[in-house]
Amino acid sequence: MWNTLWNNCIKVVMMIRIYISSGRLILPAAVAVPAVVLLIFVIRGLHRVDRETVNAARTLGMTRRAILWNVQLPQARRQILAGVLLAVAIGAAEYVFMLHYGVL
Amino acid sequence: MLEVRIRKKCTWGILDVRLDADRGIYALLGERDDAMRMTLRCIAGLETPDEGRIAVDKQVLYDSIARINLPPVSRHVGYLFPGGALFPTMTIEQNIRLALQGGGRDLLQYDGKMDVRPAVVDAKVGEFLRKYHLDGLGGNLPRELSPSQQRQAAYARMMAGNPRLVLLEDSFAALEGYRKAEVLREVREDLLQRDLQAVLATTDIDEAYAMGDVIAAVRGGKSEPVQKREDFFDHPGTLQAALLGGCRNISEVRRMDEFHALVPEWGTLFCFRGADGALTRLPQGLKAIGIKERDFRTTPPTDAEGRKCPAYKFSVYRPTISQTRNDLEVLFCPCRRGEGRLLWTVPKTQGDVGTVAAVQRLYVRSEDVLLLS
Repeated sequence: MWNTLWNNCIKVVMMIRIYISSGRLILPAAVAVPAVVLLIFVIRGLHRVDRETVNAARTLGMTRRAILWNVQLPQARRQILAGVLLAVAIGAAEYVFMLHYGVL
Repeated sequence: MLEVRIRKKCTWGILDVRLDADRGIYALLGERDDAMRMTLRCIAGLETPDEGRIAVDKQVLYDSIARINLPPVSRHVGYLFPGGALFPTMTIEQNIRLALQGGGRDLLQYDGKMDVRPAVVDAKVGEFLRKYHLDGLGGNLPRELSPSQQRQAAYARMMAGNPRLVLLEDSFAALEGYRKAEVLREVREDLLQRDLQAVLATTDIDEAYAMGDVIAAVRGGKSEPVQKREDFFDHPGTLQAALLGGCRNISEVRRMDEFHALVPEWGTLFCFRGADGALTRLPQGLKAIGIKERDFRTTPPTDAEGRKCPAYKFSVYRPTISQTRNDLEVLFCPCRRGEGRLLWTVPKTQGDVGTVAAVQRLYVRSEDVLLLS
């Protein structure tokens, strides 16, 4: 399931990229594409968290927000970090691309 | 007071469980843990049954007719996961603290008022660490602890959540012999001291015996009637209970008439007499007959006044003797020809290989014969 979803996500990102760099929405290109990439990585990371720990947290009476901040996000930290790095890289590339073609 | 009546369709079959228990520890004994695990998860609210009703202490947690389904957060049911399921990125101390701030807020009261100042919480966390032999381990991450310490920490964390019902899912399977008995005794004492009700799911007979006040067998997703601990092992009523209870001599019966049942494998005709000597009817739905391997006697049994009491006699053909640590196990054929085998276990204190091999006849009191449906 994840593989197909992943492929679709990549397609969506490519489409956004092409649409944006076609010249209509120029400035956000360096922001929008990395943002989507980051979002995908965060969701992917949250899905990979050990379900048993989340279940344990639920039986302990922790609220949804407490579970997210204390259990899920810390365990997804590596994925999120990877997402941030990739997003920064893509953003920088996009920025350079725009500089090169003189749209800024 | 726990009341559970649930049905659920699962990938492996249909779960159909009925439990009723007053206070005390309730053991579910089964051969596969899918059904038992699903039952516990339904009680905890991690899974939703298709239909039925779950109530604890008169509070309804789930009712398919009244459309009640409390989320696990508000059920106050503690769940001890097999691996502990400690939060891996946090120290033991932080694990317990989170439980205290979640479901265990009532434990933080001081003079009837809630008190969540850090110092108070810290003191409470320290109290839990001391109580469950985790002194000095509070600052460690879960993966730095040994498995048994992890289990202990998970238990402490569960208790910090202030549960009113505790579910133990096969949590002690990894422990060995002596250590296991000790841990089971400690957990049992702790539960009794807190006056908590508990449900234990296990595949291990000794564990069920050590922990459970009442025991129910689970067969293929269906639970069987609850029995008191002693009754479960001494007078199992059902075939599954006898098998799970460790009875090794079980054979199918052929019903001859209302009073007589033949066991073709052993070549024995069974009939039962009441106290007045009259034949008693066989129970409805009789499927098998069991004899516990320790119930064989070498001499004709007598009652307290020295009179002979009704018994069955078995001849011993072709015995093969093997030894375990404490017992001699004799596998013998009750018929001269035929494949039927019976197992007789003698404690080593009561005989050696020579005397046991020379035995020709064995007796079983008729009240020791188990009628299994």
